[in-house]
Amino acid sequence: MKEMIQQLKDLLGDDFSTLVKAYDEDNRAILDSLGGLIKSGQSEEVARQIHSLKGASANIGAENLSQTCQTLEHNARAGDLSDAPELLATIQSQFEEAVTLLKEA
Amino acid sequence: MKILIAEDNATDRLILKKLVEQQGHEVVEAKNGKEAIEKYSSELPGIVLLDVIMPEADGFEVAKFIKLNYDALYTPIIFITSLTETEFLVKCIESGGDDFFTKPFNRIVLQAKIDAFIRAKNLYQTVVKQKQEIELYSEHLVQEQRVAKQIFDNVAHKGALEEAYISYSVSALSIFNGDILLAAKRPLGGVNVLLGDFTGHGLPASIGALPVSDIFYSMTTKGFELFEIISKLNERLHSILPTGFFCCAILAEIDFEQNSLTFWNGGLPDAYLIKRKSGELLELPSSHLPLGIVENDKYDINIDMMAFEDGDSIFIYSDGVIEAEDDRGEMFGRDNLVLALLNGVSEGKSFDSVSQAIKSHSKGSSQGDDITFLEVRNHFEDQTYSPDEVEQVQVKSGPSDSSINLFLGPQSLKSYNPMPMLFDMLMEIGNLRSYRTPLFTILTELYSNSLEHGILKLSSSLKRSADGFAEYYRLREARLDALKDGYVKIAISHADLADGGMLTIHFEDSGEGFDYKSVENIKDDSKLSGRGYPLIYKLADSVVFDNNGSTVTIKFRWYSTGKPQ
Amino acid sequence: MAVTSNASGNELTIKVNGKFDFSCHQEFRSSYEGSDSRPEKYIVDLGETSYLDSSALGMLLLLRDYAGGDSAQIHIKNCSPEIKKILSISNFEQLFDVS
Repeated sequence: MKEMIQQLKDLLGDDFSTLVKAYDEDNRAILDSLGGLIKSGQSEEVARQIHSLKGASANIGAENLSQTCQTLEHNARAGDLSDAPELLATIQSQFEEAVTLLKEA
Repeated sequence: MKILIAEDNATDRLILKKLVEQQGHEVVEAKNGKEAIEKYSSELPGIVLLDVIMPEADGFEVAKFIKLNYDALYTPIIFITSLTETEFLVKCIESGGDDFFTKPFNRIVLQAKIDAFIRAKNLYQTVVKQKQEIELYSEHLVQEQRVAKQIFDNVAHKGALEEAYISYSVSALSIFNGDILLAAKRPLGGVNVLLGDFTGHGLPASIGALPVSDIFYSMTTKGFELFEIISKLNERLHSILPTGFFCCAILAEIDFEQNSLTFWNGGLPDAYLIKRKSGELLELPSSHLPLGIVENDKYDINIDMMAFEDGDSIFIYSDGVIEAEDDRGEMFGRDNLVLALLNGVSEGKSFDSVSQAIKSHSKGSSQGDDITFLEVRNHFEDQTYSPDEVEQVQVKSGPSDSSINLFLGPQSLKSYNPMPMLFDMLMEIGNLRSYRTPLFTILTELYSNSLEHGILKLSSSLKRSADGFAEYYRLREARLDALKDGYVKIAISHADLADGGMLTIHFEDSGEGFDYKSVENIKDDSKLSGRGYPLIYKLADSVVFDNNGSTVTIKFRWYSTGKPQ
Repeated sequence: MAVTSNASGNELTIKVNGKFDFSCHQEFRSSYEGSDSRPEKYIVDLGETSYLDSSALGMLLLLRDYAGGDSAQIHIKNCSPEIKKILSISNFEQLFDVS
């Protein structure tokens, strides 16, 4: 992930901080809404939201996070939210790690 | 190139924007589908990078909108997706997507895709531009051809083609196939026809057709003989056509009164003389080089004369007739042509029979544009010489108080035809143009009497039979060729009168004269063809012979009102 | 190659295979314009020619011009009856030695 972050810093220059801010805020909002969506069983909307997080995370090089998102998205798309709360917990902690790495960079 | 990025996730949008900008392109951003449609319509970007899942209209809807409304702009649409399920990819393609770009973004892959689409787009635009240019050019060409056709039709007008005794078929754009068909009435009665087929097609052929038409019409109207017209045509075409281009042609002169056909074929397929009485077809093959290949002094202009009797007709055609193909590419062919001609002979409907046969042969085939054929039938020509419509002309106009004296020695008699020159001059005087037909008849009859009967001692009785006719012209040529001495003197003078004028025409030849008293006695019997004098008696105001008939003076009175006396 | 040519001594033989029409215009022309020395005599061999149209007649006239016009020595040989007929309708025997 560090390698990817360096590439992004080179690419974005001053805008890198914008990227960090956008990634943090947008996706935190997604994560905040996911708990409720899972509880109310809106699997389609869960898949939709997590899809967005998955793409962005892949793009900043957070491969583990992106993988977990992929699993949740796949299950949600199939209407299966049985593992969703545990997966969401993993995703949240992986997200915090990613954000920390970004902010340190 | 301006590139639209439609992506709802700010992280992805920002990274993509930077990647695209790094490659030197201008970026337009949209955060959702609705904004993407608005930005596309206002900015008209060259390429669209489109996320599939977005709020407010997803990527599929945006793609469909662009393809539906801006298809002609050929905007490549690249879907940004991390979806790998086949059904999603199919949906992307169906909604108008051209390619995919997956997350995580790869700079090299993106660059390759964008560059490839720019090349494709440039190629597409070049093709579109060329297509438009070609369309425009083609439109111009059609327009030019239309105008050219109008000009051509004015010069190569139909002439006498619409006469009842002529049937013809030419395709609407035949000039661009190199065919030309002309017919003109001769001032003395009868008709000249010309069918020409230029090598090549299109412009060169139609340009060559213009002088042909011009020469043919003006020389026929002025009364030049067929061989003189051919000679002039060859000379002109030889000087203007580049080597390798030429004109195959048939020229024919038909004299309905003398029942004769004068015929020349240079390079066209055999024409046919159709003898209705006997049901025979006589082939009239090409026996000369086409026009425009060699210089006049190496050009053989031997014309054939033959009888053209009541019921006879002549059929002339260009290659296109026998080469007309049916839907299997089979040519119509000479045998079918002859068959069709023979089928129509007994009813005198050979032309219709051929038309019908070609039509049914080439049915279903697109070909058939350069088919030209013509039939001229013998008919009775009414020689009443009613003057043409009169123009209001001053009495004293042109060389109205002039006289002309012409002496023609043996060399001139052999190779020079004085009629066009004399006729040209007379046509300038007052209102004589309205009397062109009778005047031309008088002059021509007097001249041929002096030359053929007076000097060459040919007997006009020969001309009464078909065989004798050919013999007459054979002898005429042989004796003219051998002529060592002899002359014809022509004196024409004109005097103005209050309401018109009086023309005096005097002919004198070196021959022995003839029994003119017998002519004077039969002058009222127009049926006899004794030396054409009955006709002259009918047309002239007075005819006076002298010197045993070797001189003759006629007077011709004309009126400014154009009314016959 | 529809048109082949072969120089031997003072003679140049030009052979046309298949259709002799406008499509071999360029080839026919370069078959005689290409040679360095001017041959005295030209032989056009139409033995393998299946078809001949009026543009071919034009090309023959161009060759005749090139070969000296009225003084050109051109022998058109091995003509099939159909090809001979086309040449004779145009009376090209007056300009070429046809056999």
